[in-house]
Amino acid sequence: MLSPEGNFAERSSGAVTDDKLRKAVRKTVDRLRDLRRADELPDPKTLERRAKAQAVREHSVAELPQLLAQFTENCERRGGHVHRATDAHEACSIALSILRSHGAQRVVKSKSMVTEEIGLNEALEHAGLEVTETDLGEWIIQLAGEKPSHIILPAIHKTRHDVQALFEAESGMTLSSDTARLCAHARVRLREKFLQADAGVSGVNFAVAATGSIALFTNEGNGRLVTTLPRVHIAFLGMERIVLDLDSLAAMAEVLPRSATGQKLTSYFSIITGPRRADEVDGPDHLHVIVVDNGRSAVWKDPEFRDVLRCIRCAACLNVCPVYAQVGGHSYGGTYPGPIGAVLTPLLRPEERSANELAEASTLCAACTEACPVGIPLHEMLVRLRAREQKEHPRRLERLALRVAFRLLRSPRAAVIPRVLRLAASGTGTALLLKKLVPPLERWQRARSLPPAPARTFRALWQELEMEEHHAH
Amino acid sequence: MRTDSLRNSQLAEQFSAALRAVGGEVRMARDAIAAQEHLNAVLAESGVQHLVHHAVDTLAPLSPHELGAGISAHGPRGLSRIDHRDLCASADAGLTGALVGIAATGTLVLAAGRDTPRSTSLLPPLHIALLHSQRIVPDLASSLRLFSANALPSQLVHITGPSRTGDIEHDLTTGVHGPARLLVILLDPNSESSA
Ligand code: SF4
Repeated sequence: MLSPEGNFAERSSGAVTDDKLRKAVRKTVDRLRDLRRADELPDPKTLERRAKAQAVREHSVAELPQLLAQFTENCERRGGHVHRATDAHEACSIALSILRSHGAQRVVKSKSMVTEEIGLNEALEHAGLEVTETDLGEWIIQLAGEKPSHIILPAIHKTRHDVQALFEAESGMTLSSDTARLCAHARVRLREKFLQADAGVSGVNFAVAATGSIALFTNEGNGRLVTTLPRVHIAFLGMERIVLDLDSLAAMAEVLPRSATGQKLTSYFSIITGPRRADEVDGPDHLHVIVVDNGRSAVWKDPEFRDVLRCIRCAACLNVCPVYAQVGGHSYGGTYPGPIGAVLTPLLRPEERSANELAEASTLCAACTEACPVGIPLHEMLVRLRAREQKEHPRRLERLALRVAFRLLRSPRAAVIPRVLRLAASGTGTALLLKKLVPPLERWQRARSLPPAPARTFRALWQELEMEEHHAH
Repeated sequence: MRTDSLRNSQLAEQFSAALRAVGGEVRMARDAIAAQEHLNAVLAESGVQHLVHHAVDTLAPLSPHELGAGISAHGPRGLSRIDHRDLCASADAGLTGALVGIAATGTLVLAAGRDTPRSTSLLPPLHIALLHSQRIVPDLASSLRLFSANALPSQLVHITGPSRTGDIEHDLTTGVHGPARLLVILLDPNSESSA
């Protein structure tokens, strides 16, 4: 599922030097982080909410097979159909055969990460169906022919002028770049799509085993439209996104919006149990839930990483991550960006070598672990992934380089290093020459400026301090 | 669900504050007459000509038959799926009666059913909901406990404020898909009727 354009280093260096992108991403993560902080500083209430949520998710993961069986039974008892898909291909084929059996041509979708993960849109379009993303951000991304860059706000890297241009190209109309007008335009265009749609596709935030329900959290209301207007509703459920009962669901509703957007509750929170009843005048006639495994069973069987299945995709770990803030979501290549992506992508795609390098994209500052409302030890998992990767594919050159560096730094000759760096930062002709001569320096400086070098070197300072120490005693 | 009326009023206050904080509007009504006056005033102020509503008995004591002159009003009964959908899609406002209110978050709980279709509170640009103060509970967990696991409606929707998006440059914009305005007429016998 990694995008074909290069490896992490290439994608991220593009992202880091793209100033507009970097500013947009920075603005978003700062904003979301602050929103969350205002509400989420670990006051006792927050801690209590998180402890409850963590307990619910721990239980879900521990009892996953039983909960899935229970959910299936209850959902079908209420008239829904539950399908199990072992991989992306099977998940798409199941959806396609359901759509074909209803003669569906036009599909409206609400935001769903798992459908991104399995490449559903491509599969349906390939089969000749029309698929429209209806979450405003997702629609913008679809019109631009791109991939989301953030779990909660997929189009954060687009300005309203970009959006205006995309909407104008789609509609052939001349529009203003005013946000409210752009939204009003989207309402009209997408409302047409909703009214014409033969089927609606959604994700599932949580399935409820005891009731056979599926729960969706949205702010725009497109999730409600997708599950209300078309005759057929297909919901994709990541295999692990299940909780025991309504009490557990309430506990999750207390943390998901808070961690995702700083809201106490999203504008809409729907609990759907079966298709419409015979006497109802709206709602889908048919409800299909496709449970997607796609590598999750293997993660579940791995005691070192099973806990990652607690994840509720709130994106809190992205918003606090210094690496994500610098490189943005596209650099991660897979469906899931940020720390959760760095852990999850290599676990779900162990065969893809380039996924494993994602664990390197971390400073191990543990901000992600601290932010996670369900207590996933993300940074520890990153370390474990690195260790595993190192064991399976040791990088001799890297180890050699480190050994050389170690020797060099211990030798008295290391005193020359700060002098070289100071020269490099000076901006003189020699500095430019130096950068050319030392390629790593040049690459490192492309997106950074060296801080001005202090007047005295650390070594000199250290010696002085040592002498002062001596005098003091 | 029944607690003493003072407690109801406290919950009503908490509900109103929470709903206002997320951009919802609240009008307090002490009795049936005040509630109907609020409804008629809102419809007039907002220039509503076509109203869709849930079945009359779910709206008591409001009456969709006593609206101002020139306003058409349609309930769900006797309509085909397509006719009902088209009426909702072209209506200026939808009127519903909330099953439960949640004080902590300012949330309305609506259950889909024969008399209470989903589209009424979803397709029109303005959603007006009646809420009785004695139906307000403290939080989501207490609300969900009111429903028995094997008698859940086909859809239980929790509505907290108007439809909103921040997808374009974080500019908070309402009404991108659902109603741009949510207005609650809160019927509380202890309240001072207010706008
Ligand atoms: S790992 Fe934790 S913080 Fe990150 S998205 Fe998942 S639940 Fe949220």
